[in-house]
Amino acid sequence: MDIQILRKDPVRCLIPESTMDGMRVPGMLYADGRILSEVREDPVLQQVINVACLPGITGYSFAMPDLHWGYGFPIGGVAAFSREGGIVSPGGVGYDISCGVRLHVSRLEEEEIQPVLPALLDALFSSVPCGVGSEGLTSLKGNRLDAALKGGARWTAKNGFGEIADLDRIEHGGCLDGANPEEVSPRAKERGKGQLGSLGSGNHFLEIQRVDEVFDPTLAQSFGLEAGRVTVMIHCGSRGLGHQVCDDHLRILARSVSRHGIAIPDRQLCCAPLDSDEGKAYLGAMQAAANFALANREAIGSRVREVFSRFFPGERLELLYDVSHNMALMEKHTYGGKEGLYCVHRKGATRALPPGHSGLPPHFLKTGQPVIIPGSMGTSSFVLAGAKGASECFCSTCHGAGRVMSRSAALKSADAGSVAARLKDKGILVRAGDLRTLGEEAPEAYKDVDVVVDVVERAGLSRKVARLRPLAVIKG
Amino acid sequence: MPWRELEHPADIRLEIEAESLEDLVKECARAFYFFDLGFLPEEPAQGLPGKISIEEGRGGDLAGLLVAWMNELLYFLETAGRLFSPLVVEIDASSGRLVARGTWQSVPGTGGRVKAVTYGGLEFDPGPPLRLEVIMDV
Repeated sequence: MDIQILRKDPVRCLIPESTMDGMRVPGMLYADGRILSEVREDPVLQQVINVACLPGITGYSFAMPDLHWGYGFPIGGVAAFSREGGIVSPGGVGYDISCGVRLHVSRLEEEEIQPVLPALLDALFSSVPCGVGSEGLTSLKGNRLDAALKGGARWTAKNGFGEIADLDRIEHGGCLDGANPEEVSPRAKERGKGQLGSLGSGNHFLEIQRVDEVFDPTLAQSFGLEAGRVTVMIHCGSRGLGHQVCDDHLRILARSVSRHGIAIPDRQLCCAPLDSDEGKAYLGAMQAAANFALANREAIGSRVREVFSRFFPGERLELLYDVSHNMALMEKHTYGGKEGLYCVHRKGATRALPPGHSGLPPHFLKTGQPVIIPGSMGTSSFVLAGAKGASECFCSTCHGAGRVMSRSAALKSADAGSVAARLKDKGILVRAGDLRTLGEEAPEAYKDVDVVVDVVERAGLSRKVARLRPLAVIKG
Repeated sequence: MPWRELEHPADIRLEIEAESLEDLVKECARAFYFFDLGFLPEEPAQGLPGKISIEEGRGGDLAGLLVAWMNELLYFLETAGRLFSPLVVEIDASSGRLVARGTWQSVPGTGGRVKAVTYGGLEFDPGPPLRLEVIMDV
């Protein structure tokens, strides 16, 4: 199908509602010329169109500038479904439920850390489990696992794997109250019970960085970010537990979708009405898996603090924020002049609440919500802040760089050794749980994160606060 | 190999072919292990005898049953470090039932790089040869 794309302005493109029968809303791509040319022939555009066909979708089927081909929904996709007549879809959340990122900010300068950086990285590498099949910091069985699924980072903090003071710097206070561990299958619990406190594999990482450039000094100061300061970024999710929850509920919803009279062009788009038993069950299980991810990142953050304190006694590594980029949640928004409840799916997209938003904790009311954007390995990451313009897409923004090259193509262009050597030349140390991952995650396999961030800022979805440059990376 | 990797920007997209349904089930297992662990299982005769049964129920389809089969292999590998080599396969797509008899082997560590076998982009062509296109999330 030839997909007509209408440029609305330098960073917005429309896919008209008339493009395909069944579309209920147009598609909206946040893309400049370069990003559009990268995805012009990509199946991801058909996915944007497919999502536009789902019941209850409101406004647009949005795609952020880091969009790429996902399962059912595009990665980089945002879709809001109205409370009445709307649906929830596991494909709109993704397999790695509540995959997300957190940023710890130190009072250390790069110069202080450089002399011990190799030893610090080795200590982190041996203390934070990573790589395929990695076991976590603790094994949770029975009631303890259910308590973690119910309590999220609150449970972690109360049980000695984290800190209570972190909770108001974690999205949703570290816990989604709608979690229902009873909707999480025994299989999912079996996969997750030994994985709390582990990075996992793939594109997940732990990175020591320095604040390289400050774009907005006032906001940066509010976030504790000063040029030269050391930060630690952690990117991971709900491990095997989240994947199993997604798979279990895809199978359930695939059987029930036709019973609800919903036609879907792709099985991975299977969904259920928000008020159906299947929809409620998925929402409960998905929030439990999200709590597992929040607990997981808090546990890893706690372990990172322990390691840092061995090298720098008294260093607190304050948490700036912990935010998910794979979620679907009921949220109150004003759209088209009407306030209502929407199930906002963000898959490879980040919530970005603007200054003054009622959902913000008091300390971010003036600044807007911090948005943490991880770059690809060896490239910069960014701290953004939610901006007023994000209300046009249900307070959302991008989540990262977004892949442009397959894993096999990346391996053909660079092996693990050459990637490690290139990083070393740039002054970046690296350790990897799985050496193959280094080649697959080569920087050229990703979009230029600078371009992605530039687009969301020009679109008014978020503001650039600071750029973070990697000093040392642990790849899962 | 009766399978080949197709382009995908983030994950592993495979085309798997076989002359019979039973062989397709076996090749799905071999392809899954190859991409998950990076090597092929040893000869099945070397393991302990065992069985895997999948009951998806009526109303499903063959492609979905094959995805469930590979996810079953993933589950046992990740949670128990056990790898299954199917020798005899009974499959009835209409009732959503698959029974595989074969042997179990232990592998060092638990799990591999595949996190889920997905329904995204899933295609089945009855051929001949039978052809399954499937994407694995890594």
